[in-house]
Amino acid sequence: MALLAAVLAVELVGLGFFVKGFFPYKRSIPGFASVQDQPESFAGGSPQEPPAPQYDRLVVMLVDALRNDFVFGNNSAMAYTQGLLRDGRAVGYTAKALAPTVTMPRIKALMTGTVPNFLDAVLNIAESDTSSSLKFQDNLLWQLKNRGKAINMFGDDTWLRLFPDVFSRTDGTSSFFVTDTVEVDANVTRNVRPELERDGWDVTIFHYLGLDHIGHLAGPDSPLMRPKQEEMDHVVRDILEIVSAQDVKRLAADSSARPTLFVLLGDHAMNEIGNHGGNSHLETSTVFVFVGEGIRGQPIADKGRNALSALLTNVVPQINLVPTLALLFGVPVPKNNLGLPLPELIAGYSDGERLRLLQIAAHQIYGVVLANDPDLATIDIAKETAGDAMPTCDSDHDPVSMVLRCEYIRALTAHKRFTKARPGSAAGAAAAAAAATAEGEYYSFMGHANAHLSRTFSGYDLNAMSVGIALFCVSTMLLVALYQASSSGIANFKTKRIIMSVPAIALLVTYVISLNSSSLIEEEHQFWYHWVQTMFFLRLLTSRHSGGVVRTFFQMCLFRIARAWNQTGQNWPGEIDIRYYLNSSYNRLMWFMVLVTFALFGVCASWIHRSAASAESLRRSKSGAPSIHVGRSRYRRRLAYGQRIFRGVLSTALANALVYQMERNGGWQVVGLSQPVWSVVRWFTPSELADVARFVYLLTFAAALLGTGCAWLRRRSGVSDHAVLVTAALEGLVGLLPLLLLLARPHNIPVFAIFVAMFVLFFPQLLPRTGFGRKGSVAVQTAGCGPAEVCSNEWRLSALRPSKALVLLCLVHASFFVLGNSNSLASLDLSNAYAGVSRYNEGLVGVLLFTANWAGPLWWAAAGFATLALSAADDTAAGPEDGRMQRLLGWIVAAHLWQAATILVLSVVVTLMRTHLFIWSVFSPRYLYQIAWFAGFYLAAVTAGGTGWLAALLATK
Amino acid sequence: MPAKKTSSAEPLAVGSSEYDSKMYPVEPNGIELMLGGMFSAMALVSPRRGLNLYESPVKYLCVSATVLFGYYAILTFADIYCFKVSDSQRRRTRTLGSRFTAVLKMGLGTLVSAFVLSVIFVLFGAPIFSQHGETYMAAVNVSFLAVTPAILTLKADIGAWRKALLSLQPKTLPEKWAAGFFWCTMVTCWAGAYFVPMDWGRPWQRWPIPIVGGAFLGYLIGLMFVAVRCFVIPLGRADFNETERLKREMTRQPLPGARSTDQASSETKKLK
Repeated sequence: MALLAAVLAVELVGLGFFVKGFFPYKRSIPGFASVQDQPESFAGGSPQEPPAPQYDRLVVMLVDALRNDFVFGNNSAMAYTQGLLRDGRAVGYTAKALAPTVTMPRIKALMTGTVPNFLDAVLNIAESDTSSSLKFQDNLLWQLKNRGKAINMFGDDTWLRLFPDVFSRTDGTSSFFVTDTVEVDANVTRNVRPELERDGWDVTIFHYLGLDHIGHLAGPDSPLMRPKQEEMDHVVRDILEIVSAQDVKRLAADSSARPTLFVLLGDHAMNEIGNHGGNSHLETSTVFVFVGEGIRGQPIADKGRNALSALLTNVVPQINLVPTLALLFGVPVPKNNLGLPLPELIAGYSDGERLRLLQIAAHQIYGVVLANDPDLATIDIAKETAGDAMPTCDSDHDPVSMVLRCEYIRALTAHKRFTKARPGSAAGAAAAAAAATAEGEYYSFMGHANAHLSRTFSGYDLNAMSVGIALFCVSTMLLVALYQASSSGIANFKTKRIIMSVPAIALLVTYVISLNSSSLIEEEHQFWYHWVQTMFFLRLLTSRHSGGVVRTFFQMCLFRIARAWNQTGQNWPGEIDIRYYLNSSYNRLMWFMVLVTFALFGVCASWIHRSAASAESLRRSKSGAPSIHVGRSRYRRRLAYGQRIFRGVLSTALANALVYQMERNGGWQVVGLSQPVWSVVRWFTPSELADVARFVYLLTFAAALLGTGCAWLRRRSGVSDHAVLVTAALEGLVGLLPLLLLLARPHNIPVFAIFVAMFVLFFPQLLPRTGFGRKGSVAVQTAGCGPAEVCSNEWRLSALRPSKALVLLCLVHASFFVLGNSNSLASLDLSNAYAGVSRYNEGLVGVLLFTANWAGPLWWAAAGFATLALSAADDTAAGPEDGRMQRLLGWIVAAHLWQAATILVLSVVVTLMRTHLFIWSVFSPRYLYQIAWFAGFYLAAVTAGGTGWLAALLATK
Repeated sequence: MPAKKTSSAEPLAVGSSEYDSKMYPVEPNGIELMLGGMFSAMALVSPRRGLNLYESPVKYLCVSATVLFGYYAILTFADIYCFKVSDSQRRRTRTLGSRFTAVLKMGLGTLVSAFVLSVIFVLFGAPIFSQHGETYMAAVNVSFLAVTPAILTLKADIGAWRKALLSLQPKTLPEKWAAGFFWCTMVTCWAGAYFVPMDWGRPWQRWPIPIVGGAFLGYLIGLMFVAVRCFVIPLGRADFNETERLKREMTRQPLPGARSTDQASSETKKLK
């Protein structure tokens, strides 16, 4: 035990090292760009003179999760915005966001122009991290403020954390109450008119969250979506009306004033079920719409619904916003920017001015190239372009940074040629051609630099990673030794036979291989579904009697239904699953299924003690022990009381969880209850919804205490140790359900009924006596097997039979995916982590988030403990509990061996593939999930929770 | 001793003191092994232009199933599947009717086992409400490759099936034959499923092509495996027995049963 703890500590330390090396805080160029950093101009004049700004006021309207088809698509309700685009008064793009597609990294990217660090995604969830602020990193807002602009911000308070001390007037809204789709936006819109009409602002940012919340709650096809788009469209119209009216006055009053630029954009988009975070096409396709004086798009004559469909494929990187806005407002481009200026937006400048802008942008990007390759020489523009001959770049042989340097010089030379040609050239055509060449060269250089830099932008600390891997190796080997020393072991050296079963070895080998494949990581659920059914099928084939065959077949059928419940993964995300039907046309059926499930679990709760008692009486009548101990009747009476209270508490918890679900998701209306009836029901439960959830937590805790108390009483009233264990295990299994159901999405509640049914089918003794279960199987056993020696001989292939523990391991992992999770951050269910939480509290929300997302695995782990208690196999001489404690330890060591092997292989894979295209979109999220599996699930829940539970039971002796 | 091993694997040979052809009541017949390879290759290669596995998988699988059926039907009809029965008398006396019945039984048995297999496919994740044709025809093909050898060699004896396919007990040659084809085909068919979720975007990754492809590949592996296990190894043993007999004849030593233990042990050492 102590040894195991030591090994796990080693593994945790290794994990710390590896994570530190693999997810580093980004190396970025410190400091802020200034006008003095800008290159000297070819055109003469003051060398660092900033180009004249095109605009002097900016309104940014950021609509969270605004997908490109919400604006450009044929089902969009944003008629006004579409009209602007159609008339050519606005320019629209599909902006491609990079993973992780969550708000904070996206805002960072939109303001700094950088490729975000993966760790930002995690910190976005653990949102109180202050080190992620952009106080010390060059960004657009700082540059604008430095230019003396007053910046106001209304909406998502992420901005306020990211940019402390930047905004003049603010009104933040919290993004974490996902269920609210109205108030969050009303809180922003109420500021639009008063704040814009007030004087003294230069930059105003509105960040709307409602659309994202609708996506999370009900997906992009929700009936709420079109009204929300209309609402956003009205805001666009209001802003433009106010601003253009002001502009007319301002420009008339002051000849040096410039007009206002309006930008409508999304930070990221959403996938077909309304989530985001990953790298899929839908999640990353968001929107830019620019409206302003001097911006001319292509007018579209077509008035049809698909008129703007061309914009769906007009894709630009999202970070291009940064240099574009910086150049249009005449401020220095932020130092770490990797984006390119958008050509259509700087088309209003003259050729000379435009080339000057491109030179500034290229110079800034070259600065990033220099920072990433210290050996590269800076460019003395006058010297390098003295020859006036464009160099040819050898992209095949030179290192990339040398090629980039060469390309930059080419662009500069072309630019110089243009400036030289201008004064003397009578023909404007030659100058225009020279300008076009230079522009092409600049874009070519910046495009290549961007591609190169975004590939290599995250540095790894290979030393820390190697230390981590070495520690993983050590802990894996120690675990192998521990497992070998434990009761079951891997191999028997005396008989030179491998003890691990064939399926276990095959599972381990295939799993380790599958970790190398990005598609099998994205589709890990397929792996587990395949293996669960394989395990069941092998059990079916090697089952000793036809009762077992029938039960296993039913388990397979149940699992087949469960796997169709939630379609996850990246390959077939849009496949129609049961969840889809339950949330659309069969919503009423879903709520009836929820009701039936809760009723079923209520029956289960009341049935635990009866079945345990009957098992006990059966046992006693067999062993011939006296059935009544006179001296213990006092305890028996108390036990009967205690059990009744336990059942009551459990039923109350279930009822409250049901009320919570029905109230929160509107189930009572769907089922057809009238308001008075429902208010009567609500009268029995706490009136505040959050209090209902808290009440369930309290009752679950009370049930745990009562269960332990009952175990104590049970021992004193002469119940056998075996029965104490079985009852406690079943109590735990059912007692966990209210909590898990409280945190589940409503369509997933019936899945738990399937899980319970699958578990019960493992144990014929749990089935009702009258059914086919117990009696039937016993009868068939004798009929199917013939003489005893044939039986024992015939089934020597038991090496192929997976143990229950192995099937449960598969089910633990498969159930995670059955409930709709995947290895993408997008599938993390945030909406249920706030049940009963009134104020953001990191630790509490973290625990709830874990419980909500790992509900399936947690339940099956509890089922594993129950299996341990129910299997009567090794009642060793040391007593059933010590034998089971031994076996439990064996299981835990096996599970950790499995996890250690996985972490080791995954770390090696991730290290080797650190330059792979999918490293941030596939492998890194997988690694984060792996950390959660290891530290959260196997270490905290299974090891600490499981041994704690058994220790508590032992302490009642 | 190798001779002992052979006799335990061949219950019919126990007690026979003569090392002649009667020790093998059935002779391994290489014809169907070669034919099996040929026909499975034929079933894979499209026999007619315009029959495309990717465009019309059901039609293609129907054709390949028909080819496989023809192959088994010929062998069943001629009564030479698996092993040439040395009792050629029996073969000659078989009536035409009984031969037709055997073919019919083989076909029906395969179709029924294909139904069971398609249920298993669905349980393992094949679509329930669509692509029934694909699923069932894939099951028919897999069934021909994996189960029909067992149907033909083990007949309708559940005990024999369990013994042959699920136990580690010593097996007779037909049982080895059935088990070899069954497990090789099934394991590769199972492994073929891993290619379905890969994001390579190849046309052959569509259901049920990787499964059927895996099954055909496994059948070819099974052919080699079965050939070695039921054909090469027994042949080698027979040769070994033959040389031992010649040796014994030359030295005029008594047969193993009559030898003293000292002699036997020295004999063993020498042989080793």
